[in-house]
Formats: sequence, structure tokens, C-alpha cells
Amino acid sequence: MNLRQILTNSLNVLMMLFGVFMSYKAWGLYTNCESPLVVVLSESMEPAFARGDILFLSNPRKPIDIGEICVFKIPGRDIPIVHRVIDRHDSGEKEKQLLLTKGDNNNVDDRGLYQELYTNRGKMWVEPKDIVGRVQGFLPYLGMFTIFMTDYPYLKYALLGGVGLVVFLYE
Amino acid sequence: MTSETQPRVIKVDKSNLLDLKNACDEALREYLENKAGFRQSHRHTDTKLILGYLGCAFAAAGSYYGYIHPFELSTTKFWTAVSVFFYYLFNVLMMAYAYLVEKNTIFAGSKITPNGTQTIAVESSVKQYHPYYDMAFDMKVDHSKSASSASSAAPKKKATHQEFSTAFQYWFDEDGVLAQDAFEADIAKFLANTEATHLE
Repeated sequence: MNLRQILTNSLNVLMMLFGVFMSYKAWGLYTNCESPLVVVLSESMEPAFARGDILFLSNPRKPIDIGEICVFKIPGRDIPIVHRVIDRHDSGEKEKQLLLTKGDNNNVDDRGLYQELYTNRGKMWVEPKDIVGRVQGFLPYLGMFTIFMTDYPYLKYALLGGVGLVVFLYE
Repeated sequence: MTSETQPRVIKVDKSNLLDLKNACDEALREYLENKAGFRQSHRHTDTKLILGYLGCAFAAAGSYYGYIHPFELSTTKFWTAVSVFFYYLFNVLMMAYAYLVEKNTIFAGSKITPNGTQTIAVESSVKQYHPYYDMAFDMKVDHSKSASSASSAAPKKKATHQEFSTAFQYWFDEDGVLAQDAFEADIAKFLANTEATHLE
């Protein structure tokens, strides 16, 4: 392989990766949501969502209503939570909404969750800055694949490396 | 023919049209470059590479910017949108170049002859269920640089387009081995033919 061949094949690999990544970015811009796809990890929203369901998120302009299902992040914790809004305090402005959430399958609301970290003591509400997105739709079980790959990261590297190698060596 | 090292045997699955085409493309390139004396021009490949890597540069820059800045900021959204736009723009440009300019070109090159600089572009294609190798030779001679240009009343540049088609059976034997001699003899004939038309 000469230099041009190597550059061409590297470009194919890059364009394959960026093609997926940029489409996701474009989708994120369209939905106004940084990660418009999330996978459900827990059973706290049964029977609505099961572990492995893929959720489609977006962030419309209108204020969040009671009964909507939101994905939010509690400051200091990495894993986002998908729960239903059961109460809200607001003056009609989305930017100042205070929300209380609860998993459909849980017995209590999420106040305990909010305050789990001592840095969050006194946190009574989910604030707008915590919201990742609002659920607009879902695909059952397809996210199992992602969960499987997160549980076995070597599988992910093997898959990525394999596809990359095939594209790179393809003439 | 001067015998150098033993030429390598090109063998393909003769029931695979694409294999046959690729083998001929490769042999044709090799012939034009090594035997007919054309210097290959990599303009098409280079143009596509530049467009492709420019797109990737925008994608990489946009991704990095998005990685170090929070998504909620309107500036982050703006620069992400810019990078997405330019990534796709360069992608489309690259594809457009391949489909509209490069087309089926398998070889482009030039050589200096007593008549001036001779430029050649060869396209090849096959049609499904049709065992023929279709070629198009585009030849151009730039007389402006030739030694005898003073005598020529003809236009300084002239282009010829000639098409040829040959069934693969004339070039490949039963085992799918390319008969290099027959192939090169035919290509030489096509080249001479194109050149002759050109001089008329």
C-alpha cells in the first residue's frame, strides 16, 4: 500500500466514525438535546419502560407538565435518571421550574435520591439545569445491545476495531 | 518485448464481473504507466482526499469544542451546527466530485512527446450480465510546448474521445488467468487508434 492508499483507507474509517457521530450531533441540535438517545438501566419505571428500552428525548420550548417523563442528572452523579414528574412549582417560566419526580415502580418520590450526596443536602427539587431531556418515544429492548457492550467493554473495542480494520483493509 | 523479471500471473474468478473489471483496471494502469510511458496524475485522488480530510477536520474541531463547552450555551450550539454543516458540505462535494468529475476514470496521466504534452484519461465500466469491458480513451495534446509548433496551423489544444469494448473471453483463459500479451496488444492498438484519430 502506498501513501495515497493508506490515506484513502484512513479517510474511509474516519468518515465512517464521524458520519455516525455528526448525524447524532445534528439530531441533538434538532431536538435541542445533547444526548437524544438514552437506554433505560433500571426497573423503576416499570411497566412503562423496562431495562434495555431506548428512549428518544428532546427539549421543547414549552414548560414541563405534570405527568411527563424526564431524564435528569443529579449534580455529582454521572448516571442519568428517568422518572415521571409528579409535582411542579413555577411561575409559568420554564427556566424557573422546580420539579418533583418519582419512578412509577417506586414507593416514594425522589427527594431521598436528590439528597443522597451530602453536597446536595437540602435539594428538594429537580431544577431546569438538571434536565437532560423529555421522553418523546421509545423502542423496547433494543438498548440491550448497548447494555451488553457496557457490561463487557472488550466486546465494544473488539467490534469497533474489527469494523475499522475491515474498512481500512478494504480496497 | 524485453524480458525482465517473470511477470506475475493475474488470476481471477471469471464468473465475477467485478473481479474481471478490477483485474483489467489494474493491468491497464500498469501498462499505461510502465510500458506506454505515461506519468500518472493523482489529481482526482488528491482532490477527494483534501475534501474528505477538510470535512473531518471540521467534524473533529466541532466535536472537541462541544466536548469542552457545555451544550446549553448558544455558542456551543452555533459552533456545533457550523461543524455539522461543513462536515456534510465537504462530504457532498467529495461525492459530487466522484460522480461528476472523476466518473469511471481509472487512469489519468500525461507524457511528453515530440508533438507536445499528451494527456490521457481512461474510463472503464461493465454492465451487469454483459461480459464486456467498456473503455473510453480521452486524449489531448497540448501543442504549445512542442518544438515544431511554429508549423502548426491547427488549434493549440485538441481533444479526442474514443470508445472501445472487448469481451473478457479474449483476455482471460478458462482458468481465469489474464493473458497479458493479448491484453497489452489490444490496449496498444486502442491507444494507437486514438492517437491516429487525434492526428486527423
